[in-house]
Amino acid sequence: MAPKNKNPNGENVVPEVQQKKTQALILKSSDGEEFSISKSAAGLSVAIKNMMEDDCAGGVIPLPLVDGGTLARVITYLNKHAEDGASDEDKRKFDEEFLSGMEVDVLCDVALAGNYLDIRGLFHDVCQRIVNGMKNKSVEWVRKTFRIESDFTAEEEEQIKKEYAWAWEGVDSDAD
Amino acid sequence: MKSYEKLERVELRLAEKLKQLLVTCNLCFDGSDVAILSSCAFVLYELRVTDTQMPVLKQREPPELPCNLIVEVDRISNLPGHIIDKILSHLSLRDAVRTSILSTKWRYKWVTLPYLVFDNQSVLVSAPDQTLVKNKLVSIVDHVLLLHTGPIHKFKLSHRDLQGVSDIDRWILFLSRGSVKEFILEIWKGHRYRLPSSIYSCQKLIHLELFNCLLKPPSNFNGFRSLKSLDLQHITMDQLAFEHMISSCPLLERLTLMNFDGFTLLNIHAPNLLFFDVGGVFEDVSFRDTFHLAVVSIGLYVNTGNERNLAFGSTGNLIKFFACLPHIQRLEVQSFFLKYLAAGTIPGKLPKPCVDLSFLSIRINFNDIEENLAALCLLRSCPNLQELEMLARTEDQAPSRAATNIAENFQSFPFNQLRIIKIVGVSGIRQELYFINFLLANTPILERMTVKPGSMDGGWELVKELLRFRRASMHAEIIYLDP
Repeated sequence: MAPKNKNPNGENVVPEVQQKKTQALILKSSDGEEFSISKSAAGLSVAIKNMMEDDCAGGVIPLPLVDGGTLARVITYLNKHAEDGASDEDKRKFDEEFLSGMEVDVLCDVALAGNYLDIRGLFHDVCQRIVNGMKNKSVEWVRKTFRIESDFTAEEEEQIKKEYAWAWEGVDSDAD
Repeated sequence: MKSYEKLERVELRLAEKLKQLLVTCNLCFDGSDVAILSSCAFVLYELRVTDTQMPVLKQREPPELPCNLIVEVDRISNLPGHIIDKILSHLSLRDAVRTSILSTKWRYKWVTLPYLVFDNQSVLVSAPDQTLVKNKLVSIVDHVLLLHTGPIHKFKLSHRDLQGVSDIDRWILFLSRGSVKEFILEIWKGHRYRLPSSIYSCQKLIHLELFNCLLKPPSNFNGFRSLKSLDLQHITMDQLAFEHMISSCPLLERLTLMNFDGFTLLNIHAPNLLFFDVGGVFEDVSFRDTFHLAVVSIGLYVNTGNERNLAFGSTGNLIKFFACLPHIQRLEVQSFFLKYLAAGTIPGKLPKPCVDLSFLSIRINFNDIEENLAALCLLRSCPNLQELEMLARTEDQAPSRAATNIAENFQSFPFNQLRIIKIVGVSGIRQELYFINFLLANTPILERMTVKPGSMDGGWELVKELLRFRRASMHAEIIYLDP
């Protein structure tokens, strides 16, 4: 079992932009990892953009709520979306692949980071991705996918179904 | 052991996690002793490894131990409420409500959803007859509103089985006490639903969308002070109420009006208006203080005829219409609106050109001489046009009186930005060819002209003419589409 906070491409991820001589700044994760990112890519995060405008911390922006593994993922996303030649179609494909491999825990981390850093497109897509695991799925399936442990008795479940009978209307009980 | 080596790298992170855990578990923690922390992390890490290797051991562990938390069973249930709200808002209401059965933590997660949408997808109702369906729907909305807690930012009611029933009054009254920002009500069938006066006190509204409603604001209605976007379709309202509503929404940026009755004069006084989309039967349109208006789409759904036009003053509708639109960027003249514009004096061009206009679409009756002249006036007033669409409107009327000599009106005029032209529904009559010839000859950077005739008749003749015309642009391609 690999530690959850590993960067997706192994340790010491160095974003490509670092090699370029473009204006860069440093993002520092909650666990002290530092990542270089171009200003144009970082600016896609409204929160970072605001911090850049306030010119805090002289080029190093601390992000105490995002761990290194998640930050590396977010930076991959930002770099793709700031890429000059990338068409909308490219980005769409990237987004799909980017999220499709993620486990529920990682999706939660990325959702939190996307919300905190105010990266609307990313946050929207992650929420959508999470929700896709719930839509038209049986209760059992959803519990299994998200590792939610039920603490209801069968009786209580029946009671809830009865109370919101309209929400269960037309739901195939075996859907998964 | 290999995991020890791994540990060196992950130790710090685990320690960090542990710190969080201790805090979440409300355990007292000093935070200074890194060594203890590291050891704890080490133990926990080891436990995690053995956890997967020895399921027997797992059973002996009491479930409350942090080691279970560290493998982070069920992250999603513990996400902050506002994130859950946002995730759930991607689900239809019925899907969101069904999450209440997942576990006790989820029992009431949906009740804080700030967006409530009752439409055909989010609420499925089946019942043998209409009255039962309606009753069910009403009780669902009541039920949801009763359980809901926290602010409701958006409320949308658009269900094909719901008529304008008085229960809606109650819901609107309820919403008016909160801070609803977005209100959408679409009554699919039956009579216009008369909105209760409580709607006019929703002062936090930013977006209001109504379909098949009757609006009678109380005399003390002072406008929607925060409203930015108003969409009224199939509505009834009297002239004064309409004018007052538009002019007393100081932030209004977007206005959509489709199929309305009760008022016939579109007097638009809206200093922040950017977008105006209108289609319906009206006698006159006039703008006041609409200097920011950038996108206009306007369709007059009735042919005003030639007689009425004479009633208008000598200024002419063209000059009047554009006087308050100095920054217009996109304009669509639909249905019979060109006929309206052609009433009164038609100048060769407007006193002030529309320098920002880059897209123009005109629905035109090429047989109507006034409409041709009005279209020409418009074209000559748009020096920076990039894209042009001319859509022929056929009418059962004889070619108008002097269809003979408008050729002389097509003096050259440079369209130095025009790249794309689309001409649709043409039949090959002379006036159409004048326009096509005029456009091809005056567009030095034209990239593409698409011509689509209205019928097969005379198509070959049209193609022959198209081939003959001189083109100012070397790169222009002409695409002839089958009707």
